Amino acid sequence: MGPHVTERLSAYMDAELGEADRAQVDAHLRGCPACARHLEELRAVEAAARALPLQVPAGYFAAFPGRVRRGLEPARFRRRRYGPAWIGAAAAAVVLALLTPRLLREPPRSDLAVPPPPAAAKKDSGFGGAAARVPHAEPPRPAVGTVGGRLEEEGRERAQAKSPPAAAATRATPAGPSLERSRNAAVAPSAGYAAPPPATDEPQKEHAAGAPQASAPQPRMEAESAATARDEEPKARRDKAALGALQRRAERAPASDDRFQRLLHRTASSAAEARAIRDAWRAFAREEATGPRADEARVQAVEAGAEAWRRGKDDQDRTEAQREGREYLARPDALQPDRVRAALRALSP
Amino acid sequence: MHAVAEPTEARLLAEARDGSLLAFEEIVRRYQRRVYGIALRIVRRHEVADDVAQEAFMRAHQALSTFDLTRPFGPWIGRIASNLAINHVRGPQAREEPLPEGHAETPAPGRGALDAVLEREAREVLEQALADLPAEQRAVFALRTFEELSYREIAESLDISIGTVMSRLSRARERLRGALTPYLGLATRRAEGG
Repeated sequence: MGPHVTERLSAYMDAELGEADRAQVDAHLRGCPACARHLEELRAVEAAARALPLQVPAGYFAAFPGRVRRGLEPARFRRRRYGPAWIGAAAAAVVLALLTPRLLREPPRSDLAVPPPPAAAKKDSGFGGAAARVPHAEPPRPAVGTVGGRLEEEGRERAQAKSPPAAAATRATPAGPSLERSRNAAVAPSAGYAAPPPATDEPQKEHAAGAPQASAPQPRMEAESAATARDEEPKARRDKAALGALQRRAERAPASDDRFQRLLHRTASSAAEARAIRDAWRAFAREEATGPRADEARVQAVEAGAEAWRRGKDDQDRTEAQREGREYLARPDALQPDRVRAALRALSP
Repeated sequence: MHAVAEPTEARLLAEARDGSLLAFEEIVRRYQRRVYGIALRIVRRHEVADDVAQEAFMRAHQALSTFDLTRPFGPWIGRIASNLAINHVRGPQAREEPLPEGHAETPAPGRGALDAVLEREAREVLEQALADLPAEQRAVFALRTFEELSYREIAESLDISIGTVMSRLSRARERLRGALTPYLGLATRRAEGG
Protein backbone atom coordinates (compact mmCIF):
# COMPACT_ATOMS: atom_id res chain seq x y z
CA MET A 1 0.00 0.00 0.00
CA GLY A 2 2.91 2.37 0.62
CA PRO A 3 3.11 5.43 2.89
CA HIS A 4 -0.03 7.49 3.56
CA VAL A 5 -0.80 10.25 1.09
CA THR A 6 -2.56 12.75 3.35
CA GLU A 7 -0.29 15.66 2.43
CA ARG A 8 -1.25 15.24 -1.23
CA LEU A 9 -4.98 14.84 -0.71
CA SER A 10 -5.70 18.54 -0.88
CA ALA A 11 -4.19 18.87 -4.36
CA TYR A 12 -5.72 15.54 -5.36
CA MET A 13 -9.13 16.86 -4.40
CA ASP A 14 -8.55 19.89 -6.63
CA ALA A 15 -7.32 17.75 -9.54
CA GLU A 16 -4.06 19.67 -9.39
CA LEU A 17 -1.71 16.70 -9.12
CA GLY A 18 0.40 15.51 -12.01
CA GLU A 19 -0.51 12.31 -13.79
CA ALA A 20 1.93 10.08 -11.93
CA ASP A 21 1.11 11.54 -8.52
CA ARG A 22 -2.56 11.18 -9.18
CA ALA A 23 -2.26 7.54 -10.18
CA GLN A 24 -0.22 6.86 -7.06
CA VAL A 25 -2.79 8.49 -4.79
CA ASP A 26 -5.62 6.68 -6.58
CA ALA A 27 -3.93 3.36 -5.99
CA HIS A 28 -3.28 4.16 -2.36
CA LEU A 29 -6.83 5.27 -1.67
CA ARG A 30 -8.21 2.00 -2.98
CA GLY A 31 -6.37 0.09 -0.29
CA CYS A 32 -6.32 2.58 2.62
CA PRO A 33 -9.61 3.30 4.38
CA ALA A 34 -7.89 5.83 6.66
CA CYS A 35 -6.72 8.01 3.78
CA ALA A 36 -10.04 7.57 1.97
CA ARG A 37 -11.82 8.77 5.09
CA HIS A 38 -9.38 11.63 5.42
CA LEU A 39 -10.22 12.69 1.87
CA GLU A 40 -13.94 12.55 2.62
CA GLU A 41 -13.41 14.76 5.64
CA LEU A 42 -11.48 17.30 3.61
CA ARG A 43 -14.32 17.35 1.11
CA ALA A 44 -16.84 17.81 3.88
CA VAL A 45 -14.85 20.74 5.29
CA GLU A 46 -14.71 22.25 1.83
CA ALA A 47 -18.46 21.88 1.38
CA ALA A 48 -19.12 23.34 4.83
CA ALA A 49 -16.90 26.33 4.07
CA ARG A 50 -18.68 26.96 0.79
CA ALA A 51 -22.01 26.80 2.59
CA LEU A 52 -21.07 29.39 5.20
CA PRO A 53 -23.53 32.25 5.10
CA LEU A 54 -22.18 35.72 4.62
CA GLN A 55 -22.41 37.65 7.85
CA VAL A 56 -23.72 41.06 6.92
CA PRO A 57 -25.80 43.64 8.74
CA ALA A 58 -29.45 43.56 7.79
CA GLY A 59 -30.18 45.56 4.67
CA TYR A 60 -26.57 45.77 3.61
CA PHE A 61 -27.03 44.36 0.12
CA ALA A 62 -30.19 46.35 -0.43
CA ALA A 63 -28.29 49.58 0.01
CA PHE A 64 -24.88 48.71 -1.38
CA PRO A 65 -25.52 49.24 -5.13
CA GLY A 66 -26.97 52.66 -4.46
CA ARG A 67 -24.00 53.59 -2.33
CA VAL A 68 -21.63 52.63 -5.12
CA ARG A 69 -23.69 54.56 -7.65
CA ARG A 70 -23.77 57.65 -5.47
CA GLY A 71 -20.03 57.35 -5.00
CA LEU A 72 -19.69 57.52 -8.77
CA GLU A 73 -22.11 60.38 -9.29
CA PRO A 74 -20.70 63.80 -10.01
CA ALA A 75 -21.31 66.16 -7.12
CA ARG A 76 -23.95 68.18 -8.99
CA PHE A 77 -26.13 65.10 -9.34
CA ARG A 78 -25.59 63.93 -5.81
CA ARG A 79 -27.34 66.99 -4.42
CA ARG A 80 -30.53 65.78 -6.03
CA ARG A 81 -30.46 62.17 -4.98
CA TYR A 82 -33.92 62.34 -3.49
CA GLY A 83 -35.65 63.38 -6.66
CA PRO A 84 -35.23 66.02 -9.29
CA ALA A 85 -36.02 69.51 -8.10
CA TRP A 86 -38.56 69.96 -10.88
CA ILE A 87 -40.91 67.50 -9.21
CA GLY A 88 -41.20 69.78 -6.20
CA ALA A 89 -41.46 72.85 -8.39
CA ALA A 90 -44.12 71.25 -10.59
CA ALA A 91 -46.15 70.13 -7.58
CA ALA A 92 -46.00 73.62 -6.11
CA ALA A 93 -47.02 75.13 -9.46
CA VAL A 94 -50.04 72.84 -9.73
CA VAL A 95 -51.16 73.69 -6.21
CA LEU A 96 -50.69 77.38 -6.86
CA ALA A 97 -52.71 77.20 -10.09
CA LEU A 98 -55.55 75.48 -8.25
CA LEU A 99 -55.57 77.86 -5.32
CA THR A 100 -54.79 81.18 -6.96
CA PRO A 101 -58.40 82.14 -7.84
CA ARG A 102 -59.42 81.61 -4.23
CA LEU A 103 -56.40 83.40 -2.88
CA LEU A 104 -57.05 86.37 -5.17
CA ARG A 105 -60.45 86.82 -3.57
CA GLU A 106 -58.80 87.28 -0.18
CA PRO A 107 -58.26 90.81 1.18
CA PRO A 108 -54.80 92.10 0.23
CA ARG A 109 -53.60 92.35 3.83
CA SER A 110 -54.46 88.72 4.43
CA ASP A 111 -52.19 87.76 1.58
CA LEU A 112 -49.41 89.90 2.92
CA ALA A 113 -49.77 88.20 6.24
CA VAL A 114 -49.21 84.76 4.77
CA PRO A 115 -45.64 83.80 5.56
CA PRO A 116 -43.43 82.96 2.61
CA PRO A 117 -43.43 79.24 1.95
CA PRO A 118 -40.65 77.64 3.93
CA ALA A 119 -39.65 75.86 0.77
CA ALA A 120 -38.59 79.07 -0.90
CA ALA A 121 -36.29 80.04 1.90
CA LYS A 122 -35.00 76.62 2.77
CA LYS A 123 -34.73 74.92 -0.55
CA ASP A 124 -31.08 75.36 -1.20
CA SER A 125 -29.80 75.31 2.30
CA GLY A 126 -31.88 72.31 3.17
CA PHE A 127 -30.79 70.03 0.37
CA GLY A 128 -27.33 71.41 0.06
CA GLY A 129 -26.62 71.16 3.73
CA ALA A 130 -27.96 67.66 3.88
CA ALA A 131 -26.06 66.55 0.83
CA ALA A 132 -22.87 67.81 2.35
CA ARG A 133 -23.36 65.41 5.24
CA VAL A 134 -24.03 62.40 3.09
CA PRO A 135 -21.01 60.10 3.42
CA HIS A 136 -20.34 59.95 -0.30
CA ALA A 137 -20.99 63.55 -1.12
CA GLU A 138 -17.42 64.72 -0.71
CA PRO A 139 -15.28 65.06 -3.80
CA PRO A 140 -13.04 62.05 -4.31
CA ARG A 141 -9.45 62.34 -3.25
CA PRO A 142 -6.43 60.17 -3.93
CA ALA A 143 -6.24 57.00 -1.89
CA VAL A 144 -2.93 57.69 -0.27
CA GLY A 145 -1.87 55.03 2.18
CA THR A 146 -4.91 52.90 1.52
CA VAL A 147 -5.51 49.48 0.12
CA GLY A 148 -5.94 51.04 -3.25
CA GLY A 149 -2.82 53.09 -2.85
CA ARG A 150 -0.79 50.07 -1.94
CA LEU A 151 -2.10 48.14 -4.86
CA GLU A 152 -1.00 50.99 -7.07
CA GLU A 153 2.52 50.82 -5.69
CA GLU A 154 3.09 47.19 -4.86
CA GLY A 155 0.88 45.36 -7.25
CA ARG A 156 1.29 47.35 -10.42
CA GLU A 157 4.19 45.49 -11.95
CA ARG A 158 2.78 42.09 -11.10
CA ALA A 159 -0.70 43.00 -12.11
CA GLN A 160 0.40 44.47 -15.41
CA ALA A 161 2.53 41.50 -16.23
CA LYS A 162 0.20 38.73 -15.21
CA SER A 163 -3.33 39.91 -14.97
CA PRO A 164 -4.35 42.20 -17.80
CA PRO A 165 -7.87 43.02 -16.59
CA ALA A 166 -6.75 43.65 -13.03
CA ALA A 167 -3.82 45.59 -14.36
CA ALA A 168 -6.14 47.77 -16.33
CA ALA A 169 -8.08 48.45 -13.20
CA THR A 170 -5.09 49.16 -11.06
CA ARG A 171 -3.53 51.42 -13.63
CA ALA A 172 -6.54 53.64 -13.52
CA THR A 173 -6.20 56.76 -11.44
CA PRO A 174 -7.56 56.01 -7.99
CA ALA A 175 -10.32 58.56 -8.14
CA GLY A 176 -12.79 56.54 -6.10
CA PRO A 177 -13.40 57.24 -2.45
CA SER A 178 -10.35 56.61 -0.38
CA LEU A 179 -10.48 53.53 1.74
CA GLU A 180 -9.68 55.49 4.85
CA ARG A 181 -12.59 57.82 4.25
CA SER A 182 -15.06 55.12 3.48
CA ARG A 183 -13.87 53.17 6.48
CA ASN A 184 -14.68 56.18 8.63
CA ALA A 185 -18.14 56.13 7.15
CA ALA A 186 -18.46 52.43 7.79
CA VAL A 187 -17.45 52.67 11.43
CA ALA A 188 -20.93 53.93 12.12
CA PRO A 189 -22.98 51.51 10.07
CA SER A 190 -26.16 53.48 10.39
CA ALA A 191 -24.57 56.37 8.57
CA GLY A 192 -23.46 54.20 5.72
CA TYR A 193 -26.13 51.73 4.77
CA ALA A 194 -28.63 50.68 7.37
CA ALA A 195 -30.43 53.86 8.23
CA PRO A 196 -32.66 55.86 5.94
CA PRO A 197 -30.75 58.50 4.04
CA PRO A 198 -29.83 61.30 6.41
CA ALA A 199 -30.60 64.02 3.90
CA THR A 200 -34.32 63.40 4.18
CA ASP A 201 -34.21 64.39 7.84
CA GLU A 202 -32.59 67.72 7.36
CA PRO A 203 -35.26 69.65 5.54
CA GLN A 204 -37.81 68.32 8.00
CA LYS A 205 -35.82 69.58 10.93
CA GLU A 206 -35.33 72.91 9.34
CA HIS A 207 -38.97 73.24 8.49
CA ALA A 208 -39.91 72.19 11.96
CA ALA A 209 -37.61 74.82 13.40
CA GLY A 210 -39.15 77.37 11.09
CA ALA A 211 -42.70 76.40 11.89
CA PRO A 212 -43.31 78.76 14.84
CA GLN A 213 -42.03 81.65 12.78
CA ALA A 214 -44.26 80.74 9.90
CA SER A 215 -47.39 80.35 11.96
CA ALA A 216 -46.84 83.33 14.22
CA PRO A 217 -48.68 85.87 12.05
CA GLN A 218 -51.54 83.49 11.54
CA PRO A 219 -53.84 84.77 14.37
CA ARG A 220 -53.56 88.30 13.06
CA MET A 221 -54.52 87.20 9.58
CA GLU A 222 -57.50 85.32 10.95
CA ALA A 223 -58.76 88.25 12.98
CA GLU A 224 -58.57 90.65 10.08
CA SER A 225 -60.07 88.39 7.50
CA ALA A 226 -62.95 87.40 9.75
CA ALA A 227 -64.69 90.74 9.27
CA THR A 228 -64.52 90.82 5.49
CA ALA A 229 -64.67 87.19 4.39
CA ARG A 230 -66.38 85.39 7.18
CA ASP A 231 -67.81 82.65 4.98
CA GLU A 232 -64.70 82.11 2.93
CA GLU A 233 -62.24 82.37 5.77
CA PRO A 234 -62.07 78.86 7.22
CA LYS A 235 -61.81 77.30 3.78
CA ALA A 236 -59.20 79.78 2.61
CA ARG A 237 -57.20 79.23 5.78
CA ARG A 238 -57.33 75.49 5.23
CA ASP A 239 -56.27 76.01 1.64
CA LYS A 240 -53.34 78.16 2.65
CA ALA A 241 -52.31 75.68 5.28
CA ALA A 242 -52.66 72.93 2.72
CA LEU A 243 -50.58 74.92 0.27
CA GLY A 244 -47.77 75.27 2.76
CA ALA A 245 -47.97 71.64 3.76
CA LEU A 246 -48.01 70.43 0.18
CA GLN A 247 -45.07 72.60 -0.70
CA ARG A 248 -43.14 71.37 2.27
CA ARG A 249 -44.05 67.82 1.47
CA ALA A 250 -43.15 68.18 -2.18
CA GLU A 251 -39.89 69.70 -1.09
CA ARG A 252 -38.80 67.03 1.31
CA ALA A 253 -40.33 63.84 -0.08
CA PRO A 254 -40.85 64.28 -3.79
CA ALA A 255 -39.90 60.70 -4.56
CA SER A 256 -41.85 59.00 -1.88
CA ASP A 257 -45.52 59.09 -0.85
CA ASP A 258 -47.11 60.61 -3.91
CA ARG A 259 -45.01 58.67 -6.32
CA PHE A 260 -45.77 55.44 -4.49
CA GLN A 261 -49.48 56.12 -4.54
CA ARG A 262 -49.43 57.04 -8.21
CA LEU A 263 -47.59 53.85 -9.04
CA LEU A 264 -50.04 51.79 -7.03
CA HIS A 265 -52.88 53.14 -9.14
CA ARG A 266 -51.27 52.48 -12.48
CA THR A 267 -52.67 49.56 -14.43
CA ALA A 268 -51.39 48.03 -17.62
CA SER A 269 -53.46 47.41 -20.70
CA SER A 270 -50.54 46.20 -22.80
CA ALA A 271 -47.21 44.48 -22.37
CA ALA A 272 -45.40 47.74 -23.01
CA GLU A 273 -47.34 49.48 -20.26
CA ALA A 274 -46.66 46.62 -17.87
CA ARG A 275 -42.96 46.93 -18.64
CA ALA A 276 -43.07 50.65 -18.01
CA ILE A 277 -44.78 50.03 -14.67
CA ARG A 278 -42.27 47.34 -13.81
CA ASP A 279 -39.40 49.70 -14.60
CA ALA A 280 -40.97 52.45 -12.54
CA TRP A 281 -41.26 50.09 -9.57
CA ARG A 282 -37.68 49.01 -10.03
CA ALA A 283 -36.54 52.59 -10.02
CA PHE A 284 -38.60 53.28 -6.93
CA ALA A 285 -37.17 50.24 -5.14
CA ARG A 286 -33.67 51.32 -6.04
CA GLU A 287 -34.08 54.89 -4.96
CA GLU A 288 -35.94 54.04 -1.77
CA ALA A 289 -33.93 50.91 -1.09
CA THR A 290 -33.83 51.47 2.65
CA GLY A 291 -37.31 52.90 2.92
CA PRO A 292 -40.41 51.20 4.28
CA ARG A 293 -41.97 50.73 0.83
CA ALA A 294 -38.99 49.15 -0.89
CA ASP A 295 -40.25 45.63 -0.22
CA GLU A 296 -43.64 46.36 -1.74
CA ALA A 297 -41.95 48.02 -4.71
CA ARG A 298 -39.79 44.96 -5.36
CA VAL A 299 -42.81 42.69 -5.23
CA GLN A 300 -44.75 45.01 -7.52
CA ALA A 301 -41.86 44.98 -9.98
CA VAL A 302 -41.96 41.18 -10.12
CA GLU A 303 -45.72 41.17 -10.54
CA ALA A 304 -45.62 43.84 -13.23
CA GLY A 305 -42.94 41.83 -15.03
CA ALA A 306 -45.15 38.75 -14.86
CA GLU A 307 -48.01 40.81 -16.22
CA ALA A 308 -45.81 42.01 -19.10
CA TRP A 309 -45.10 38.40 -19.98
CA ARG A 310 -48.76 37.40 -19.64
CA ARG A 311 -49.77 40.09 -22.07
CA GLY A 312 -46.92 39.89 -24.57
CA LYS A 313 -45.55 36.35 -24.14
CA ASP A 314 -42.11 37.79 -24.72
CA ASP A 315 -39.57 35.32 -23.33
CA GLN A 316 -37.32 38.11 -22.23
CA ASP A 317 -40.02 39.46 -19.94
CA ARG A 318 -40.39 36.05 -18.40
CA THR A 319 -36.63 35.59 -17.95
CA GLU A 320 -36.35 38.97 -16.29
CA ALA A 321 -39.31 38.39 -14.03
CA GLN A 322 -38.00 34.98 -13.01
CA ARG A 323 -34.59 36.38 -12.25
CA GLU A 324 -36.08 39.28 -10.34
CA GLY A 325 -38.34 36.92 -8.41
CA ARG A 326 -35.48 34.63 -7.49
CA GLU A 327 -33.39 37.58 -6.39
CA TYR A 328 -36.24 38.77 -4.24
CA LEU A 329 -36.70 35.37 -2.63
CA ALA A 330 -32.99 35.24 -1.86
CA ARG A 331 -33.18 38.48 0.08
CA PRO A 332 -32.93 38.11 3.84
CA ASP A 333 -35.37 41.00 4.25
CA ALA A 334 -38.05 39.70 1.89
CA LEU A 335 -41.41 40.23 3.58
CA GLN A 336 -43.78 38.83 0.98
CA PRO A 337 -42.23 35.68 -0.44
CA ASP A 338 -45.63 34.06 -1.00
CA ARG A 339 -46.74 36.79 -3.35
CA VAL A 340 -43.57 36.49 -5.35
CA ARG A 341 -43.81 32.69 -5.45
CA ALA A 342 -47.32 33.06 -6.78
CA ALA A 343 -46.08 35.44 -9.46
CA LEU A 344 -43.34 32.99 -10.39
CA ARG A 345 -45.86 30.15 -10.62
CA ALA A 346 -47.89 32.28 -12.99
CA LEU A 347 -44.85 32.51 -15.24
CA SER A 348 -44.96 28.80 -16.01
CA PRO A 349 -45.60 28.23 -19.71
CA MET B 1 -35.42 52.98 -18.84
CA HIS B 2 -36.33 49.70 -20.38
CA ALA B 3 -32.93 49.53 -22.05
CA VAL B 4 -31.27 49.91 -18.67
CA ALA B 5 -33.23 46.95 -17.41
CA GLU B 6 -31.96 44.65 -20.15
CA PRO B 7 -30.74 41.56 -18.42
CA THR B 8 -27.74 40.77 -20.55
CA GLU B 9 -24.52 41.60 -18.84
CA ALA B 10 -22.72 42.82 -21.95
CA ARG B 11 -25.54 45.27 -22.67
CA LEU B 12 -25.49 46.62 -19.15
CA LEU B 13 -21.73 46.98 -19.27
CA ALA B 14 -21.90 48.77 -22.60
CA GLU B 15 -24.46 51.18 -21.20
CA ALA B 16 -22.37 51.67 -18.09
CA ARG B 17 -19.38 52.41 -20.26
CA ASP B 18 -21.48 55.00 -22.07
CA GLY B 19 -22.14 56.68 -18.75
CA SER B 20 -25.26 55.02 -17.37
CA LEU B 21 -24.82 54.78 -13.63
CA LEU B 22 -28.11 52.90 -13.32
CA ALA B 23 -26.77 50.21 -15.62
CA PHE B 24 -23.64 49.97 -13.53
CA GLU B 25 -25.75 49.86 -10.39
CA GLU B 26 -27.49 46.80 -11.79
CA ILE B 27 -24.11 45.20 -12.43
CA VAL B 28 -23.16 45.97 -8.83
CA ARG B 29 -26.42 44.41 -7.68
CA ARG B 30 -25.63 41.21 -9.53
CA TYR B 31 -22.08 40.87 -8.32
CA GLN B 32 -22.11 42.47 -4.90
CA ARG B 33 -22.47 39.23 -2.96
CA ARG B 34 -19.62 37.61 -4.79
CA VAL B 35 -17.35 40.62 -4.44
CA TYR B 36 -18.21 41.25 -0.82
CA GLY B 37 -17.90 37.52 -0.10
CA ILE B 38 -14.41 37.36 -1.56
CA ALA B 39 -13.37 40.43 0.38
CA LEU B 40 -14.89 39.29 3.66
CA ARG B 41 -13.38 35.84 3.46
CA ILE B 42 -9.96 37.33 3.02
CA VAL B 43 -10.05 40.39 5.26
CA ARG B 44 -12.60 39.00 7.78
CA ARG B 45 -13.87 42.36 9.00
CA HIS B 46 -17.13 43.70 7.66
CA GLU B 47 -16.12 47.32 7.49
CA VAL B 48 -12.91 46.49 5.64
CA ALA B 49 -14.71 44.09 3.30
CA ASP B 50 -17.23 46.85 2.63
CA ASP B 51 -14.42 49.25 1.74
CA VAL B 52 -12.75 46.69 -0.46
CA ALA B 53 -16.00 45.85 -2.26
CA GLN B 54 -16.74 49.53 -2.92
CA GLU B 55 -13.22 50.16 -4.07
CA ALA B 56 -13.33 47.15 -6.38
CA PHE B 57 -16.46 48.38 -8.12
CA MET B 58 -15.11 51.92 -8.33
CA ARG B 59 -11.96 50.65 -9.99
CA ALA B 60 -13.87 48.40 -12.33
CA HIS B 61 -16.02 51.36 -13.33
CA GLN B 62 -12.98 53.50 -14.02
CA ALA B 63 -11.44 50.76 -16.10
CA LEU B 64 -14.57 49.79 -18.03
CA SER B 65 -13.24 51.42 -21.18
CA THR B 66 -10.45 48.85 -21.24
CA PHE B 67 -12.69 45.88 -20.48
CA ASP B 68 -13.49 43.44 -23.26
CA LEU B 69 -17.28 43.22 -23.18
CA THR B 70 -17.26 39.75 -24.69
CA ARG B 71 -15.64 38.40 -21.55
CA PRO B 72 -17.52 37.62 -18.36
CA PHE B 73 -17.44 40.38 -15.78
CA GLY B 74 -17.45 38.08 -12.74
CA PRO B 75 -13.88 36.77 -12.86
CA TRP B 76 -12.58 40.24 -13.58
CA ILE B 77 -14.30 41.98 -10.70
CA GLY B 78 -13.47 38.99 -8.54
CA ARG B 79 -9.82 39.36 -9.33
CA ILE B 80 -9.86 43.07 -8.61
CA ALA B 81 -11.56 42.45 -5.27
CA SER B 82 -9.23 39.65 -4.26
CA ASN B 83 -6.18 41.71 -5.16
CA LEU B 84 -7.44 44.61 -3.09
CA ALA B 85 -8.30 42.32 -0.19
CA ILE B 86 -4.98 40.53 -0.31
CA ASN B 87 -3.15 43.80 -0.37
CA HIS B 88 -5.05 44.71 2.72
CA VAL B 89 -4.13 41.57 4.66
CA ARG B 90 -0.53 42.07 3.61
CA GLY B 91 -0.51 45.63 4.81
CA PRO B 92 0.53 46.80 8.24
CA GLN B 93 -2.95 48.00 9.15
CA ALA B 94 -4.50 44.58 8.71
CA ARG B 95 -5.97 43.89 12.07
CA GLU B 96 -6.48 40.40 13.32
CA GLU B 97 -9.12 40.87 15.98
CA PRO B 98 -12.12 38.57 15.82
CA LEU B 99 -15.10 39.39 13.67
CA PRO B 100 -17.86 41.31 15.35
CA GLU B 101 -21.18 39.59 15.77
CA GLY B 102 -23.24 39.92 12.64
CA HIS B 103 -26.57 38.77 11.38
CA ALA B 104 -26.57 35.58 9.42
CA GLU B 105 -27.92 36.35 6.01
CA THR B 106 -29.56 32.99 5.64
CA PRO B 107 -31.40 31.28 8.43
CA ALA B 108 -30.45 27.83 9.64
CA PRO B 109 -32.13 25.18 7.53
CA GLY B 110 -35.21 23.72 9.12
CA ARG B 111 -33.92 20.34 10.21
CA GLY B 112 -34.17 18.61 13.51
CA ALA B 113 -33.46 20.74 16.53
CA LEU B 114 -30.30 18.83 17.43
CA ASP B 115 -28.99 19.01 13.89
CA ALA B 116 -29.70 22.72 13.81
CA VAL B 117 -27.80 23.29 17.05
CA LEU B 118 -24.89 21.16 15.91
CA GLU B 119 -24.89 22.82 12.57
CA ARG B 120 -24.83 26.27 14.11
CA GLU B 121 -22.02 25.23 16.41
CA ALA B 122 -20.09 23.71 13.54
CA ARG B 123 -20.55 26.86 11.52
CA GLU B 124 -19.27 28.99 14.36
CA VAL B 125 -16.30 26.71 14.88
CA LEU B 126 -15.52 26.80 11.18
CA GLU B 127 -15.86 30.59 11.04
CA GLN B 128 -13.49 30.89 13.97
CA ALA B 129 -11.04 28.40 12.49
CA LEU B 130 -11.06 30.34 9.22
CA ALA B 131 -10.49 33.55 11.11
CA ASP B 132 -7.61 31.96 13.01
CA LEU B 133 -5.79 30.88 9.86
CA PRO B 134 -2.65 32.85 9.08
CA ALA B 135 -3.60 35.54 6.57
CA GLU B 136 -1.51 34.02 3.78
CA GLN B 137 -3.17 30.62 4.19
CA ARG B 138 -6.59 32.22 4.40
CA ALA B 139 -6.02 34.13 1.17
CA VAL B 140 -5.04 30.95 -0.68
CA PHE B 141 -7.97 29.06 0.78
CA ALA B 142 -10.43 31.83 -0.11
CA LEU B 143 -9.23 32.12 -3.68
CA ARG B 144 -9.44 28.38 -4.17
CA THR B 145 -12.63 27.58 -2.31
CA PHE B 146 -14.75 30.63 -2.91
CA GLU B 147 -13.32 31.96 -6.17
CA GLU B 148 -12.41 28.55 -7.57
CA LEU B 149 -9.18 29.79 -9.06
CA SER B 150 -6.67 27.24 -10.29
CA TYR B 151 -3.38 26.87 -8.45
CA ARG B 152 -1.65 28.67 -11.27
CA GLU B 153 -4.06 31.59 -11.06
CA ILE B 154 -3.65 31.77 -7.29
CA ALA B 155 0.11 31.68 -7.67
CA GLU B 156 -0.08 34.57 -10.12
CA SER B 157 -2.47 36.55 -7.97
CA LEU B 158 -0.30 36.22 -4.89
CA ASP B 159 3.04 36.18 -6.65
CA ILE B 160 4.09 32.90 -5.09
CA SER B 161 5.03 29.52 -6.54
CA ILE B 162 2.53 26.80 -7.29
CA GLY B 163 4.31 24.62 -4.72
CA THR B 164 3.68 27.29 -2.09
CA VAL B 165 0.02 27.46 -3.10
CA MET B 166 -0.22 23.72 -2.71
CA SER B 167 1.40 23.58 0.70
CA ARG B 168 -0.46 26.59 2.12
CA LEU B 169 -3.76 25.24 0.92
CA SER B 170 -3.05 21.80 2.33
CA ARG B 171 -2.06 23.26 5.71
CA ALA B 172 -5.11 25.50 5.77
CA ARG B 173 -7.45 22.61 5.04
CA GLU B 174 -5.81 20.40 7.65
CA ARG B 175 -6.27 23.11 10.27
CA LEU B 176 -9.91 23.52 9.38
CA ARG B 177 -10.44 19.77 9.40
CA GLY B 178 -8.80 19.53 12.82
CA ALA B 179 -11.10 22.21 14.19
CA LEU B 180 -14.19 20.58 12.71
CA THR B 181 -13.38 17.00 13.69
CA PRO B 182 -16.15 16.72 16.30
CA TYR B 183 -18.75 17.73 13.72
CA LEU B 184 -17.48 15.94 10.65
CA GLY B 185 -19.99 13.10 10.87
CA LEU B 186 -22.80 15.63 10.59
CA ALA B 187 -21.08 17.53 7.80
CA THR B 188 -20.44 14.33 5.87
CA ARG B 189 -24.07 13.28 6.23
CA ARG B 190 -25.22 16.68 5.00
CA ALA B 191 -22.78 16.64 2.10
CA GLU B 192 -24.27 13.32 1.13
CA GLY B 193 -27.73 14.82 1.33
CA GLY B 194 -28.76 12.88 4.46
